Amino acid sequence: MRRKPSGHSIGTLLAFTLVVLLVLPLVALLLSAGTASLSAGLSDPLFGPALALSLRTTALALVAIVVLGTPLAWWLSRSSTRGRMLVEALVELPIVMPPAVLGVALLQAFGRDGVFSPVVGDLGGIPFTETAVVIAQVVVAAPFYVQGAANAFREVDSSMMGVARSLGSSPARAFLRVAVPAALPGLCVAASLAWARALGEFGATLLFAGNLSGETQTLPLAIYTALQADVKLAVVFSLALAGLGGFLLLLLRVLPRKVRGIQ
Amino acid sequence: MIWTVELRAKLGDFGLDVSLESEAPTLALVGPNGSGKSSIVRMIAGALSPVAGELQVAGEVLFSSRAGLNVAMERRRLGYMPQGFSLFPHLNVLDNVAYGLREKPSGLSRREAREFAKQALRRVDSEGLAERAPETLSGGEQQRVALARALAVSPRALLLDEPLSALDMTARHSVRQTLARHLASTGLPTMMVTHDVRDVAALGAECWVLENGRVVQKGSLGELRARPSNAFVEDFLAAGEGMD
Repeated sequence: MRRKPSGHSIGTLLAFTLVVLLVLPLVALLLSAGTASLSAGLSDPLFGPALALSLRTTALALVAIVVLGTPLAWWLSRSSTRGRMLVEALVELPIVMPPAVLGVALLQAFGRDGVFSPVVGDLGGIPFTETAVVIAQVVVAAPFYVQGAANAFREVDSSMMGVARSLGSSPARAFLRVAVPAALPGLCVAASLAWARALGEFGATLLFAGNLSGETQTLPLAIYTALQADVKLAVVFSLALAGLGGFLLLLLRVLPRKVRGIQ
Repeated sequence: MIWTVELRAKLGDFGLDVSLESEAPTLALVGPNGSGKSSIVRMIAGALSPVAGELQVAGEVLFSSRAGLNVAMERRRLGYMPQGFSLFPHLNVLDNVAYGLREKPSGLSRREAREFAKQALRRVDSEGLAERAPETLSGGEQQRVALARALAVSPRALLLDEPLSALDMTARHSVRQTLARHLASTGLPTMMVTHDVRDVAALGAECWVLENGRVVQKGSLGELRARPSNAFVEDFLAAGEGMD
């Protein structure tokens, strides 16, 4: 007698299918890059500057996102005003907007003939610079951090903050000594997602910062450039970007556990 | 007067209007759920602000709408234990207890604070827990640590919001005895929210009975037994008969 597949086995099959779908392109990437092309690709003159620029700009973007986004995430997690929902929707807007749209919007905001230039003066110097790369990365990646950090802060019990205050902490001290450490694992996950998003940012950067080798050409843009001339080179760059992303994602997730271990 | 509690507040649809004074060092707020017990404790602690009133604890004015005074929560020097355990999950037991000692007015160094914290843990028979993480503790152990943490900063009074309700019978009995012993030896003014008449009996507390945001009766357990003001008081007293 044939047994009917159980709900559990169907669930496992569906989950397995998705995992395969997610991993398959990476495996293909790995298989299509030979050892010879790997070393040739990594020593290509496009690679070094693009990697350095990506690391530098995403590090700056991440600092800006964490510094600016943490207070906002805290407010979103604690506020019960009507304005909160509006602010939350505005913050999450870049997630659902195509990056190319964001690039055009950034040009309209900060471009030489941008709509705000009569008010804020000459901001025309920003587009097509390293600063523009960082701004584009902040705009596309910040929502991932703010959303994740707000969720992490929601897990911090309000009464715990009350206890910290009763023990002598000012609201700011209670936030830094209790809320942030208590939410640290969630904050690190949110930061790692934002960082990964910034590292992979392409569309908004291309339109707002351009694709100038050594100046605004990040690793995703270098992949795009390489793809037009040499697919093997693009594969190696892609592999490097994927490896870097995977490594830092892992690091940011392991770090909070180590920090807690020390305390 | 140890306690002067005159509070008027609007919390959503709920209105609180309480006016009482007492010389009793230990007070128990009793009443049905939603009668305003926890709100009173939170207002005294400074976690909630009343619309108007006067709050004075152990000779210190903490809030006065007439004088335009509202002392910040961190300057009230009240040992506050909310419902649940509220231990800081990222700190071990010793650092939990040392937390307040590093803040003003104590402002001790980490080493000094940890030394004092060890003594505070010893007073609640929990020094062996010093290096443990909060999530590895039983409910009773967590509550002892929370008590040590509240007492470590030498508060002017203790505010306990259902401190024993989350504990099993054995832990409840043991923590209750620790609490009673400590309060008897220090005479520290204490206000406790409770649903258990045995807590009131063990601490020899004066009861304030609340209903719909108003105090409907005040007195010792004996006075409540002699003249229960409503069905809640009768049930509250009856629940403790024959137990412990």
